[in-house]
Amino acid sequence: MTHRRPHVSGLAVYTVLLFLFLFAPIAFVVLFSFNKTAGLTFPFHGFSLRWYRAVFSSPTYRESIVASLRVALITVVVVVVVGTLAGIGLTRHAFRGSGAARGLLLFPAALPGLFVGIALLSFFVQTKVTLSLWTVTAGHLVYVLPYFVLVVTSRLQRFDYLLEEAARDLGAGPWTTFRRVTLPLIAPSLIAGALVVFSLSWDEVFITFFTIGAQNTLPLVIYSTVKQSVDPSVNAISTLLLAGSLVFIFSVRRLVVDLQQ
Amino acid sequence: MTDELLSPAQRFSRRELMRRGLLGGTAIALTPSLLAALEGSAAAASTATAASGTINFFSWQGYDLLDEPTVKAWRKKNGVTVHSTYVNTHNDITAKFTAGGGKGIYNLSTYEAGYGPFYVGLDIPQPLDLSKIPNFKNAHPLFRSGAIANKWWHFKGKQWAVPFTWGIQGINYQSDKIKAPTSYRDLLKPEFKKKYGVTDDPVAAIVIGAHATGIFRADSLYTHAQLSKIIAFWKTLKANARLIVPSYGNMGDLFASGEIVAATPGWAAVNSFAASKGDHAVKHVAPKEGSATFCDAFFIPNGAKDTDVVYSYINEAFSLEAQAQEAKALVQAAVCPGAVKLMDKATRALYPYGQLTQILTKAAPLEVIPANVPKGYATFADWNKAWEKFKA
Amino acid sequence: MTAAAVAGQIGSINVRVRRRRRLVVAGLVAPALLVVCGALLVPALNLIVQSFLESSGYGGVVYHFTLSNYLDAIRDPTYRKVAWHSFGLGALAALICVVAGYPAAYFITFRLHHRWRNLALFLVVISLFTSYLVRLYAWYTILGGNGIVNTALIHLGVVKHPLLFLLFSRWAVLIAFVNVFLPFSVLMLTSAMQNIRPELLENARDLGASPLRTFSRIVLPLTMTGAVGAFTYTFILTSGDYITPSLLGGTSSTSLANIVSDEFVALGNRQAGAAISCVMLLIFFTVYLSLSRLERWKGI
Repeated sequence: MTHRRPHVSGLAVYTVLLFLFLFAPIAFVVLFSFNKTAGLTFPFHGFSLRWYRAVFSSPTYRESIVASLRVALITVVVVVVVGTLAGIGLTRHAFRGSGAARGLLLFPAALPGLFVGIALLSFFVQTKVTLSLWTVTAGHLVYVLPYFVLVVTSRLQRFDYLLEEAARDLGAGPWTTFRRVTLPLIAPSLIAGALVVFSLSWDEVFITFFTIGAQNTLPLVIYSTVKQSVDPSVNAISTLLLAGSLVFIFSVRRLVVDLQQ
Repeated sequence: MTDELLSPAQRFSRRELMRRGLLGGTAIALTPSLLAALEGSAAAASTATAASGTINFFSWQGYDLLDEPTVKAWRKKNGVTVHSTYVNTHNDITAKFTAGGGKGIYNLSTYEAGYGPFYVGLDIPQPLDLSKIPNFKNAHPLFRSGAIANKWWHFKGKQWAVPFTWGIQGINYQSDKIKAPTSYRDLLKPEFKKKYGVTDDPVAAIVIGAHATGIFRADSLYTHAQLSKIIAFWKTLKANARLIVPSYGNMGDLFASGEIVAATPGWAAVNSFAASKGDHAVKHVAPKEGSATFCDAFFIPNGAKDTDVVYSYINEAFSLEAQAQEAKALVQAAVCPGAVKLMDKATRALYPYGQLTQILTKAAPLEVIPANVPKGYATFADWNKAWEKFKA
Repeated sequence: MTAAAVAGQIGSINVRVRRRRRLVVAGLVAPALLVVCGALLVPALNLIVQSFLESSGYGGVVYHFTLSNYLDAIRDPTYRKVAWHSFGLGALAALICVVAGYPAAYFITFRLHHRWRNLALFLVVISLFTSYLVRLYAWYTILGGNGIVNTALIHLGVVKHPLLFLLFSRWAVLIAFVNVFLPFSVLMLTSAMQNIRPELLENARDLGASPLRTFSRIVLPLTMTGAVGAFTYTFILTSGDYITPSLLGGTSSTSLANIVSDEFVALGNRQAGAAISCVMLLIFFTVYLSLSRLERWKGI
């Protein structure tokens, strides 16, 4: 098959270049997080951990991380519960309007954060609700729900209902069947979905910008820092987050693999 | 906020002060004749305990007075922490205290003189109790009473804000790369093509534009045609500009990283911002057409909590030493004449303190936004809209 | 009891059981629907209502029906100019993402061993885990006057002065958009390509079809859903992005989304902002509908 060789290596080179393009900004972010001076452009002045120290000693970053965590965790819990129920309802039996319900649950993913943000802001202003982390959570809920529902429904569509029927034949009630048969089997997908939801909420800035009160989430701190006076401490926090999410993904993968066995 | 944010020294002094306050209180209750002797320490204690707490500041970077040495020491001594959130534009302040949930969260902010009646109309500031800001008496009479004061800070029978600093807005430039521009139109020369920025500050820009097109009015009332003329002037500047600078803080970064060599509207504080990023050669100049003079005043938002600590902080900002240091750190002018002799030579030379009255009333009166606009003239909303179109 | 009566009784029990089951199932979906209705539909309806009201002062509203917001939105030449640029840039970014994503998706799906494929997809997912904002301002470092591209070009003698159009221009915005959305495009296209059986491609090659023909006759039609999905997703999100243009756009820093955002924040005019965003929504909807028709296209 020698005539295929040049074709393959062309595509391979292209793909490698594409990956380089994807990772170039990330590489520079990590590199400049170690810069000795406050500059973000070349020349690079030598290695230093001062920005990491700055991040750890900064109350602004600390509080914004806590705020981001609060919003993300509440979002994950609510979306996993509500989304799993919805996923089961949508895939188990086709009822009248299930198509419409499905469409309704999935369509927020097609909206830019701008719309969700200004719709909510307008609504809160009209109803005189004070903006806070709760209003932010409301925005995140509707933004991430479609992604989770998509993950759950695609898993449930591959689900073998014979297993449930077998359990029911053996006398198990619906809740026990769910708890002991369905849930363990779809758990890996639920965890993956929860991970997606967490990272979406954690990184969200478009909706948060409009619905937040006097608090700050981490992306908003980064956004206002970049708009005002940016220094490598932003690089440091991003590198830390990247490292953290890598560790997180690897340990979750481990957990999922173990669960599957 | 909570104790974890205070250093051990701050926490210790706070406990000390509270103890002294308690003792003072008990003694007064038990022994009226000792009242006179104890009055001193009790009063000091009550001011001292009232002074501690947290300030939640929402306004321009630098106005939270984080770098002034005496203010720093005062904060340490009284157990005061400052939590700051900075704005990019004055509109951010408007937005945050109307729909943005800022009321009740932030307890200190500022507004530029011209915004006073506008903000009072939107119910943003609360009336101030001047008896809690005794140092305000240090300020020049011009800022405390009279025609100017009654327009922007003391009207409807109440004091809405206390002006603490003023300055002029012209052009910032990289002094080691270019000579000081003498006119706004210098920037249109070919050697500056794509090397300067236009700041996203509509009020300063429109006032400067009025100077540059020769139609400046102290009451900021321009017809729609005149407004278009001003915007056309800025459009010629935009054509050769590298970018529209989102904030003054960002301007400092852009100078330091070498992306621009000039920017207008400028702000002298940018010199300090750039210096903190390693670029010590940024200077500010007022071109010959004129510049926009601004005057910023502290106000306490409606619904603010812990107003006692805010009052003592504002009071401290009006002490003569603090005013001198503010002038140095912000590269702006002090409002207290007594502070001028405390300044070093370079800072004193920055602003013509001897001609204060003339400056603020005739030569370069305060930049104001149009208020009580008669028909046919552009309103503040028109200004904002025109600026949006300019940016597009 | 007759057999018919028994059958009738069982039949009615079945109907009741089925109806109850349907109610239970509908009940399962209810909480999620409640979230979407409460947090999106109701506010969206309020926004639509606002778009027909008059604005008064900063943040105020007069309950008086008017079409002026929509008329201004459609007739204003500035809005038209900005809209043209925003949608144009968005469409270009979406097109580049799809076109550039195809070769990589093809390579990953058909030319990589199973383990390498998972690694490649994993890497793509990882690239999404860096904060969007941080990846944005990293372009200052790469494209700036003293950035790596200019420094390299000057060192290599290709140019004498730094190329200033790389940063603070529509090019920078385009590059940043592609960088952010290319991973999504690759993932969607890969997922679509996994439905193509490799034998189909081998047969086509054995029958003498050129790579281009194989692509246009087999790969493209079978992955059209993925391509349309990737294009629509990228187009909608880039056209509605108000951060990237403002940070990287230079003097072209205004996008339609910025205008909406400024109407709300800087001008306190929710009504005008609502009208403009409703018009934007209509445009997105139209684009999506027209592209869905493309999915039924069977190739050249």
